[in-house]
Amino acid sequence: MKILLLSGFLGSGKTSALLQLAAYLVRGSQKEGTSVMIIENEIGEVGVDDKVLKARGLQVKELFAGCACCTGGADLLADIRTLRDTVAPEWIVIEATGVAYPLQIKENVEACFRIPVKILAVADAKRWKRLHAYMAQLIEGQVDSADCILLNKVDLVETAEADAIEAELRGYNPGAEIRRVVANQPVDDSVWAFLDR
Amino acid sequence: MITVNINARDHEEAHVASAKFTLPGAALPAVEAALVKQLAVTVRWADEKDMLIGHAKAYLSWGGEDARMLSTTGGPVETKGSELPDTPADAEVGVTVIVFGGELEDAEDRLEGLSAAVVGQFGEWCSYVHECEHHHGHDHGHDHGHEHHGHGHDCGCSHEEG
Repeated sequence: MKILLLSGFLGSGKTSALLQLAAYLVRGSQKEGTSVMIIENEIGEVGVDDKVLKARGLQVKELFAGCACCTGGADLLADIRTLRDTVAPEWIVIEATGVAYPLQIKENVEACFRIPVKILAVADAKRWKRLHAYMAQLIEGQVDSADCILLNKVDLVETAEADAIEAELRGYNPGAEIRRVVANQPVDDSVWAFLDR
Repeated sequence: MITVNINARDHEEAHVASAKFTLPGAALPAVEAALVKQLAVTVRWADEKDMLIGHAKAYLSWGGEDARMLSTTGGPVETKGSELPDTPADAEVGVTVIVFGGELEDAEDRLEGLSAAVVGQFGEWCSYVHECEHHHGHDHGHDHGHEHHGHGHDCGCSHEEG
């Protein structure tokens, strides 16, 4: 079983990216039955994103008990254990809330299950400057531990602005692979190559 | 009378408020239009109060896995999902507003106003049930109700606790 954690600020395009990522993982799976399970952690008591994912035929477990990086951490571990023991999927993809610090989740999960967790972060190019000015610690904390960063919505900013944001991202996380995408349009499968590294 | 379940809590700097209600036998396109309008009102409300919209989003479902999703991060309201049927149906609505700045009560009031405005479009009144967590001085699980006539206005009137 492999575990991927998807992070990024509210509205950055995590669910759009997840729809494409999950389709890629399902296509590449050798496993019969459920190969990909999604744990959807939403910050509100009302789940919206899980309905988007289920409508596409994906297997989703909702986690509304709080943010998995803090109050909902124990529930997340319990959900992973249950999925491992019952469904045994090839992949578990955790979509964190838009206000989560992914490193805290990664450390908890790795300590509990001894499975390396990869982090895919989504950064919103259109709102990057404003969000960073408003809450730098959270925005940087959502990308600084990622294995791959998708710089999303690059169609909504000038190339020079995307260049500047990418340079900033490299400053926060020099080791991450950074890919520019428009997540609500088909992305090239090469974007997901980091999963095999 | 439509019962609206409201949940509000803080997560670090974010104020998170959610509302759920069902409109029986409703024209679904009209419900969606009302939600789009009210999410846009919410964006303007946040701008006026100098609050940052993290995300305002809603679903509209009518049984099974069929649903429409609406969302905004401060710009236009985007919609996607299943095609809306022409026939009236029980419309299940869920809305979450996440804002930064201001107070949690501001977000909760806006959710009440949004719900009242949508419900009011269908000539109904709201009765609110609050799941209190970090305010009113109570622990999780304390419910109280009050009524609010929704006639499409922003929630500006005072509420009497039930």
